[in-house]
Amino acid sequence: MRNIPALTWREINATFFSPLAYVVLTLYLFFSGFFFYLILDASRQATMTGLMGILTFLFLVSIPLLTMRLMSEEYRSGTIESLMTAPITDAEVILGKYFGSMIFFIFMLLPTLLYVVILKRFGNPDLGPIFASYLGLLLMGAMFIALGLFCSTLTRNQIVAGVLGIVSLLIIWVLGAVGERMTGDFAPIVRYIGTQQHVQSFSSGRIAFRDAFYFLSFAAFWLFLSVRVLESKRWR
Amino acid sequence: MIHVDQLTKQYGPTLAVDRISFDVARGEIVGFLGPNGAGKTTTMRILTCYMPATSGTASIAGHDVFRDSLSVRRHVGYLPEGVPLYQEMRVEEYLRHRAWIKRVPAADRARRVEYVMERCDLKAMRRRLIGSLSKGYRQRVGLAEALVHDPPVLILDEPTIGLDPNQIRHVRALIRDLGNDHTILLSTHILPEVEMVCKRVIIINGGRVVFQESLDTIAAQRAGGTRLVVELRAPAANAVAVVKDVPGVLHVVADNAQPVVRLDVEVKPGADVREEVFQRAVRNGWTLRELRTEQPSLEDIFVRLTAKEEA
Ligand SMILES: Nc1ncnc2c1ncn2[C@@H]1O[C@H](COP(=O)(O)OP(=O)(O)OP(=O)(O)O)[C@@H](O)[C@H]1O
Ligand SMILES: [Mg+2]
Repeated sequence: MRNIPALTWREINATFFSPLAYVVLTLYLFFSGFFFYLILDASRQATMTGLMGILTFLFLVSIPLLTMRLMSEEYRSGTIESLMTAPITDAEVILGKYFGSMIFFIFMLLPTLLYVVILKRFGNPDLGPIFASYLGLLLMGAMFIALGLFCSTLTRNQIVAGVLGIVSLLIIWVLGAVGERMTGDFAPIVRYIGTQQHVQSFSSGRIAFRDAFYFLSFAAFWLFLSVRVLESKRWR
Repeated sequence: MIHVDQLTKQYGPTLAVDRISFDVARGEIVGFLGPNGAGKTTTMRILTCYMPATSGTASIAGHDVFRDSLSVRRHVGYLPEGVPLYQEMRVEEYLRHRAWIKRVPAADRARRVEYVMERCDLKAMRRRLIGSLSKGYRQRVGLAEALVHDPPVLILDEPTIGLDPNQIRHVRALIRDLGNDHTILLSTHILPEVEMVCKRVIIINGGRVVFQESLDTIAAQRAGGTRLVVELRAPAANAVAVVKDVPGVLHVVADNAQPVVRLDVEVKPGADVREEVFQRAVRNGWTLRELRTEQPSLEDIFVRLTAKEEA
């Protein structure tokens, strides 16, 4: 695991070099600011609950756009050959890229702290739920990025990886609602797999081990599968 | 240093490498030759742990490429075919990144990168984006990258492709020089290059080793000549009879021209019959107009071994 910092460093560099990252970042900041204003203007309440839902949705679209490059680009350009013949393990390759994206994701979250500052200045927000919401967003990002990265390990085509990522995230997002309407033995499982209720749990101010476990275990699951797919690429 | 035993690689139905075995000793520079699609790149990819073999084993510096792949990768510098590089990085930045990944200690990194840039003539390009470099410079970055962790074994897949004549010379000299303290396996399609740089050649065709010989041996065989061209002012029939009689001569073909006859003489490998031919011509009172050995070049050997199977 000693090589992860080197790989993460290069990944962050590459992200800041890619025009797509800036496009995504700009659109994301624009929409989050826009909705922050709209919600505040309509509700006149110093909370972030409404915005958290919006942010979640924005990340659902923008994270796959950021992660689709990760492995697909290496396959397409052939640099995967230098990567996989360097004295690093396949797990290090995946984790290096994963942490690179995590850091960029945290970087994306930082500007939204400005909204908290604004609320604090002009109102009296309850900071507990806001803190919980941020923790929720972080955990959610950890899972979304792992899934996006997994999609990228599957194909050399970035667009395919991106679309696959967005579609998969949408599916697990709506599974919660599907579970609500289902009856039978599988209903609780489907509800559990659905992302929505776990996010909502955080943004209503509850920090539950069960929800944290949901995000972290799925993140680990997709990362594990990514390593497996990468390993299997050797056996062509 | 490199040990390959019965290595086989199958891509689905395609048999790319078929029970290849060879060894490369410490400090040797070996040329790995073969026509397009012979399996050179595939063999090198197995040796560098990019992909596992279907069957057979290989080891580098005593480490098995499959079971102990990380140690192998630490001992090998690899220049892949096509030289894939991160386009968005700068030359020096890329080399430092690779040095970091390859566990060059932090204190030595700057010095090593400086050294390989010096060796590969890259200093003027250190701040350039790799994506904006010409093919030849990218090739040099790839070579510098292979060298950066000072590996005992270098595996170079067509290292001089795309270089200008000056650079080809430069890189050949560099490889020859590196041969002093590295073991090198290099593939190329430029045969004179092999003669200039390598100590030994391995020719593969259709995934099999078809020829394996040290260049010294090839040169020694050549010195004796395996073919002789003789031009005499003599009656054709007599000339053939006399030359055929020389010990060591296997076969004589005459062009039957008058009054000067040209003989194409096949000689037993290693035998040198030139002086005897001369003596006999003198004894018969014939004027010897030409006497020369026709040397089979590496190219002849290559073409003979690899063109045959396709036909
Ligand atoms: N990824 C792959 N999938 C399927 N077949 C492959 C693959 N890579 C190579 N082959 C096949 O394996 C055989 C050997 O290819 P290889 O690239 O090793 O040849 P080579 O000796 O390096 O040729 P060249 O001189 O053109 O570089 C060829 O028949 C090729 O078509
Ligand atoms: Mg090749």
